[in-house]
Amino acid sequence: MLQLKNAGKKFDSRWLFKNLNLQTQTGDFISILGPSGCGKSTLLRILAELDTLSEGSLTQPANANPGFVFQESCLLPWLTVYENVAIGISLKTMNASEKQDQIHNILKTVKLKDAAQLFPHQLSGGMKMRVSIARALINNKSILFMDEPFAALDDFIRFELQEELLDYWKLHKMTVFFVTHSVNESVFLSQKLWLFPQGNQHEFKELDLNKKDLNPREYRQSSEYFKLVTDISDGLRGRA
Amino acid sequence: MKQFLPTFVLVVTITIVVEVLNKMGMWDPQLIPPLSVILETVQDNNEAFFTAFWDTTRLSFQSLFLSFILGFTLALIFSLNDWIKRAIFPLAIFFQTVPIIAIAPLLVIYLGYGSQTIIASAVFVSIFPILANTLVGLDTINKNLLELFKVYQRSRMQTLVYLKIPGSYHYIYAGLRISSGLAVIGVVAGEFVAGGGLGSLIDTSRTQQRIDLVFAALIGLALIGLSQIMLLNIINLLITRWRPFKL
Repeated sequence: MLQLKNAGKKFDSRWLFKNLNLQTQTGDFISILGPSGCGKSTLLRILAELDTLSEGSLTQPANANPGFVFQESCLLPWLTVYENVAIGISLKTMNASEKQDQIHNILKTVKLKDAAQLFPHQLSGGMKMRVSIARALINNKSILFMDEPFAALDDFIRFELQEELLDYWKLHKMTVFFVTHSVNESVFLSQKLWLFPQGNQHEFKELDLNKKDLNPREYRQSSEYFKLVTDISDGLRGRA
Repeated sequence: MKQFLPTFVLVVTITIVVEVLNKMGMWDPQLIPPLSVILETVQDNNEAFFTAFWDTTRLSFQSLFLSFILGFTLALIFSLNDWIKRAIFPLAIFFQTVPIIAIAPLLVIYLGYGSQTIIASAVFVSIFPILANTLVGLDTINKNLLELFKVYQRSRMQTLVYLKIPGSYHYIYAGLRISSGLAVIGVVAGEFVAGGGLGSLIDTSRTQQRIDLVFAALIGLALIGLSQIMLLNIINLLITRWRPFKL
């Protein structure tokens, strides 16, 4: 369980957020939603312990094994796809053949089995992001931090990767924190939303979507999905 | 090679024009000797010239190699320890501003005549671009990649070896290219005061008004500089074909 108590973050003299009290259960899929510059990426970085709180406390689950996906694919250009994915494996815990098996399995999952020996400059944008996701998922990660990972991709690739991510999450039930500024994306992917203040809304809100367990492809077409998107968008704009 | 064609054509044209003007008696070979005169001079003094040429070549390559090892190691130490960097790096910048020709006599007093002084002089001049460029490379690694290594709990040493050094490759290579020319300059400055090599040949030829021999030595120095650049280009080509280093 991950917990934030009375958490606040100040940037220069401005509070990005204050008095946040949030907690998550193992296997939650949480989208952090808000306009550009509101502090959602900062919150994600704090949860991943890449940044610190100005006040309050963060409690991480014991033996957390985190993976991180940035907005850019962040691959090392001098390493092959296989070697880039290997960076995500803890060096201590595995022998060479186990490591090899894990890399091959995760490459198969992200549909990059045949690209293992290619370098990043030989890949498309979507393939690069798949490598980045594979690196974050490998070694049965218990927590996944994703900072607008699909923002730079075209709709076709984005939808495909969103659906594959959901399939993987349903299978492995790791905790996911997903930063996005898209209401559609957050509603499609997550079980819970953390909403940063927007427009004339001045409070940080936590929203449980209570979604039915529909097939992701069907859910994207469902009236439930469209209603949620409309309600949340209206709420954010203060029309609800 | 195509990019060098205009330069090649220009040099060949100037050489031919000087030769023709010299044959017609319209050129003073004492001022700038034509190529044929320079080649004749090299032939007449071939033992002394090639011994000097070989000494300068050997010392230039040795100095460049030593500068690389020292500059790179220092940059790694600076990168791992900010206090050492802040203590020593300003001194390196200060010494960089002192002309080598003013330092070289001191090196003779400390190290005596011979190759040790010449190498010290060349390393003194050529170490800085390697040190400075490597440091810039190590310090300008993509922030997200550094954070990625932090998330995966990699140690400072692992981050240095697997991320920072390969990510600095192009900076290190650019530093080496600058230093290759400086190493030749440093060797010649060292040879002026410590004796031997083409530097000493230029100095003695100057006192004897042997402009043809000075020009032969200058061409020799240019060839040493070019051979260093060519060797670096070949090594770079082989490395980047093996791994596409670029961040």
